[in-house]
Amino acid sequence: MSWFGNKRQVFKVSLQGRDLSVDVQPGETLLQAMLGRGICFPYLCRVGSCGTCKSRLTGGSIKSLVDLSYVLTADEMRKGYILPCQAIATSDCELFNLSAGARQESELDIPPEWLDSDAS
Amino acid sequence: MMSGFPKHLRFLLLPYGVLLASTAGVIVGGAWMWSGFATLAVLAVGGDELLPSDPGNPEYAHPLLLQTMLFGTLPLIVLLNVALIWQSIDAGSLPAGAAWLQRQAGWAPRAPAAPVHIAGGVLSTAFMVGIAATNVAHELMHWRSRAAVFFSKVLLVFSFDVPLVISHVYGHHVEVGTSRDHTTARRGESSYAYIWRSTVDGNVNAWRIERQRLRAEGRFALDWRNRFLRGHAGALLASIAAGLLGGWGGAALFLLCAVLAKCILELINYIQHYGIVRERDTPIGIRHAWNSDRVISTWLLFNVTRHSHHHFEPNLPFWQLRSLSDAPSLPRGYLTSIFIALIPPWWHSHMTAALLRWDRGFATPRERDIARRDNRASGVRGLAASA
Repeated sequence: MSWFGNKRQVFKVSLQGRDLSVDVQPGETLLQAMLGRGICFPYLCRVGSCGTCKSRLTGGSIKSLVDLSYVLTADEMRKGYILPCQAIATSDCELFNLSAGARQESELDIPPEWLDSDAS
Repeated sequence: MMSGFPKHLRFLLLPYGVLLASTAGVIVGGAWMWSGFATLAVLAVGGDELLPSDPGNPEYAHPLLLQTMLFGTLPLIVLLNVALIWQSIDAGSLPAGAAWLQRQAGWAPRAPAAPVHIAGGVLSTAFMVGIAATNVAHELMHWRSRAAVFFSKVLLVFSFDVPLVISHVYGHHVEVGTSRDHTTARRGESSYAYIWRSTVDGNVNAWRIERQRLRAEGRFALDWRNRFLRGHAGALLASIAAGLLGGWGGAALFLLCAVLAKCILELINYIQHYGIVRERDTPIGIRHAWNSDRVISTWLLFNVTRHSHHHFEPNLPFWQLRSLSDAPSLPRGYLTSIFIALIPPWWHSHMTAALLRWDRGFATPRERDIARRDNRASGVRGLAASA
């Protein structure tokens, strides 16, 4: 039991213009899902502050864990930009980000035991 | 149902062990007012040195307990501050707030406590605000529920540090390790110079970030929604309340504890990233923080000693932070380290080998270049000799 979300539904996140789609486990952010399942995605801080992972939500819906007003302008929010590192999927969704794509092994700095986070 | 319950108790040691003992000690008065500081110093330094390290990553089956227990710190911190001020009041001339309390509740202050006992109460209170209140506040500011962040801010009022909620999350977590980060201590920088710099720059950064946020929403910096100004206004209100209760002496005690508590927080910040180097705009990795598996520091500080994992996944609750075998490690426990850091020459020689190991084993080629330059400029003989 926890005060955090109790929904146990698995959704899919895909990248517009790329033939890529991965599962998002309950409680997982879109960024965690993609990094954990073989997609290379730009990021720095993973706390919703730097804006490096900023992407446009082109389909589906998400819930943001943070107040986006520190990072995104009102205009960007209107146009559907989100921070995948702080986004919990509430349906299957699709993102647009030109810098994302298939993984380049050598550039990831993730401990190997986190690469497959299906267990958690 | 209660499987594995006892291991949850380790995180209750700070709020319901040390903090409770501090509060009880200050209420009882006399030499007992030292009990909080004495318990902490003996437990932290002795415990970290004598007990074996624990790199274990257990599963905690009762997260609701671990979440809920955090909220008990606020009433205890309030009570501790009130009790300390109460102990300083001269029964002969009651300040307005104390007189009101006496009429309403029938409480009458005894003769003021002796200065040596007040000193113990101040140290105990400062350490509890700096460690217990700020530690819980740090956990809650990452929770991302409005109520939790508000609670975090209320706890930070006691160290005049509400803007930390802004500068920590939107500044430190982005810039950690780079020369722009006010929270990363430079090689060779003394803890005293650092406390001053980090406090000033932290406030300046929070102000800038908040002004930028308001500007993006089309508002002026002096808008009533400015979270920086509201935070400091809250701390000012708390000081006025302390003044009403205990007169000028009460307000001075509150401020003294707040300033010392802020210094203690900054000492923890100091050791967490001392000398760590990161190139701007490169991802934050597990090499960008110092860790420790010493048990007492880990329990008392709610796993904040597993600091690399915190920076890598800042939204994880504290009980899910893991000890990573391939993360940089401090030679001593966190709480022991803050005492060593109070003596800069000792601290610098203490950390030289660890920093050189970091340069060789963790740094990227680019980071190694920056580190070499920093080593030359550090003024620390062992570091400069290697550059």
